[in-house]
Amino acid sequence: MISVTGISKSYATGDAIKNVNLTVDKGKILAVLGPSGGGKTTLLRLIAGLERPDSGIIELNGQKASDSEKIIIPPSNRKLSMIFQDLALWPHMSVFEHVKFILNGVELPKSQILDHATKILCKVHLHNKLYHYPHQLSGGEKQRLAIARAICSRPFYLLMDEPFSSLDVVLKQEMMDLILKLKKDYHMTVIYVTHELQEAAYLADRVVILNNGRIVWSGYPNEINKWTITDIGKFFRRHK
Amino acid sequence: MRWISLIVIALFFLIVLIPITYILLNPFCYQGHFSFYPLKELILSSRQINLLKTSIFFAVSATSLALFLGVSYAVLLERVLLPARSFMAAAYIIPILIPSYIQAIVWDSFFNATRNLFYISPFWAATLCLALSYFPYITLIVVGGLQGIDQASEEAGLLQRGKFPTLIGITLPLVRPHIITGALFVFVFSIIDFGVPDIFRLRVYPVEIFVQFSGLYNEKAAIVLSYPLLIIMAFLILLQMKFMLGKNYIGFSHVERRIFFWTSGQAKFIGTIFICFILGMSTMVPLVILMGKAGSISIFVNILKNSWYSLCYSILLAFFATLIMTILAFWIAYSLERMSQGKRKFLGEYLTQLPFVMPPILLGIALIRIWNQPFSAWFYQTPLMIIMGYVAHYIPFPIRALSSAFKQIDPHLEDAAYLTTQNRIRIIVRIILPLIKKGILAAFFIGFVLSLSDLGVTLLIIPPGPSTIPIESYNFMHYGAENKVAALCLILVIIQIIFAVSIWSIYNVICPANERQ
Repeated sequence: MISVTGISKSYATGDAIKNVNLTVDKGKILAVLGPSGGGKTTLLRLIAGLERPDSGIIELNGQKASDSEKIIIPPSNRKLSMIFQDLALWPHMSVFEHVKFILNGVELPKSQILDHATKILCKVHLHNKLYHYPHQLSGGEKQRLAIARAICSRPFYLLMDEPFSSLDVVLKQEMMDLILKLKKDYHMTVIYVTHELQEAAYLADRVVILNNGRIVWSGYPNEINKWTITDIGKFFRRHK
Repeated sequence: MRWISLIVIALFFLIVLIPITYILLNPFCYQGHFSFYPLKELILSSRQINLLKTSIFFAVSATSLALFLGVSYAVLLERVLLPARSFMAAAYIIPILIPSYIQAIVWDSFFNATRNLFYISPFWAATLCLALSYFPYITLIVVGGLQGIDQASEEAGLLQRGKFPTLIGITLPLVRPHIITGALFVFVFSIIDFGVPDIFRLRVYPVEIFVQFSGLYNEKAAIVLSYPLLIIMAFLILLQMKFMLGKNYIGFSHVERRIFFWTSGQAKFIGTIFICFILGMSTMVPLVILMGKAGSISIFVNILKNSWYSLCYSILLAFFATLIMTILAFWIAYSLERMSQGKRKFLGEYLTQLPFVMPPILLGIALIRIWNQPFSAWFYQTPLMIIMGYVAHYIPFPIRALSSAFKQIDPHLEDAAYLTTQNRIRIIVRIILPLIKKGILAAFFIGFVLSLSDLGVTLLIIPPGPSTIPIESYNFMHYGAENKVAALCLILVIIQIIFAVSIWSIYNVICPANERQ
């Protein structure tokens, strides 16, 4: 379970997150919706431990991970992984090396690393591209590699920062189905950041809308499913 | 536009390419005919092989030590939240302002004075001097690389593997091209350095070439001797170009967000100690020793009184050489960056880097042979020769600095200007120049610092009459006037520091903080 209580963060340019409270139950997907600059990415980075909050508490599975400006559990010990908007694949590593680099940090005998890596890459249909480099992969394959890298260490929590924003509709659907399948297989708790209503409605168990660093709406996907573009426009004008 | 390009190409050809071509073709000319005889005779001798071995081992040792110092400094600066970071980010430039032969003079006297406590061989002492002189070039290039890494790439590693595995597995491999380029630069600097091996009496290429030409008057032997070296270095330049294809040597953009791996007090303490140690060895020790050796203020006053003309002469020569260098470099870098990728661009980039690998002594020989002719007598015995030598040897650096600046301009900004006017000069003056002013300052800084402290090129081509400060110190050194040498060296370093501070102040005035993005 991820629990965020009264978290705030500001930069020199202004407040990014203001007194945000939210909880994500184990094995559920929470979609964080909102316009650009609304604080969605900052929220993910705070949960990951990549940023220090100014105030508030972040708990992972009941354990305090950050308390005000203190990072109690460092990012690498939080048992979470993240899929970045630009994927952040490592250009100097092949598909297999991406997974191997992460697995080297997991307590796994060396002999089993190849087996385990192949299994993971099979799940994302990259087992026949083991020695390809990111620049040799198609857009969809790059996405699948980013997913494989994120899940290969069997994280408890998966944070996704608009990972499919650059994909076409067909590929996006394929990736979202893959995420749903992996979530089911690995029982991961997922926070999915997006600005697309349909993605949030399709993937999430619960949805929150973040605007100007505050949660302005919280509810279930079936409620936002009926919204039209005009409704969204009106909504954001109201919560400016 | 076309006529400006033609003038620039003609000047580059005259000043840079003709001397290089002379050096490359000279060994094949034997008694007025084309022949492989001189090359065969000298290139395969056992002396040549020994010289090659010693020179390469010397340069590799200096490069390895400089790599250790330079990369560690860059990583500490960019990935540890150090106290007084801005100071440390500026301080590593100071060793660049202390020429390598001054480091050699200082450390030579230090090791002589402490001979009874511990002994260090001349080879390793010279290696240390070169590493302390040249590590900032590696730091500068690697810092540029570290600032250019996509933050998310490292965060992806930090989240799942932690700090050290991310540094080793992600960060350092991502800046590998910068590390290799820095190493190649230092290797070339070390192998063509004349002052340091001369002071420590090491028989390496530049010293041997100088002995052959100046002592034994055997010009052909001097050139042929360096042939294997030139081939190796020409190949290294190719290698470096392959690694740095399309990448920047220096980052001019302001870094908004930095990712620090280590922020704890312990990490800060260890990092600060290490950086202070490097700065102490490369800056503080030389300055303190020079001050101690120079002695009283009266020595300085005396030296200033006797050498003020040389001082002004050195500054003027360096200034005019840098001015010409920067103007030529601007046009060359602009033309190269606007060329589409292909063989022409590659050849252009290669030719503009080639002068850098030419040992300065060899360049001096070429300039003498080419311009000591009746048709050029009107300028051969003038300071123009020295200016020409500086331009010919150091122009690759301003070109690289300006190329990096051009690479960081969004090409659409220039396209947008073309839609409003067809006048290219107006676009360059109103759009391009303001956008690359940091690059121009960097180019001017590098050109001036290298020219002012030059010893190798000036040594052979200086006409009779006034002398430059490095030449004067070199002469005093051979007369054993240690206090005069120390005072002159210190004066040179102070001028370099004043110049660096002036450039920094100009930078702050013409590039205010809100523009540095």
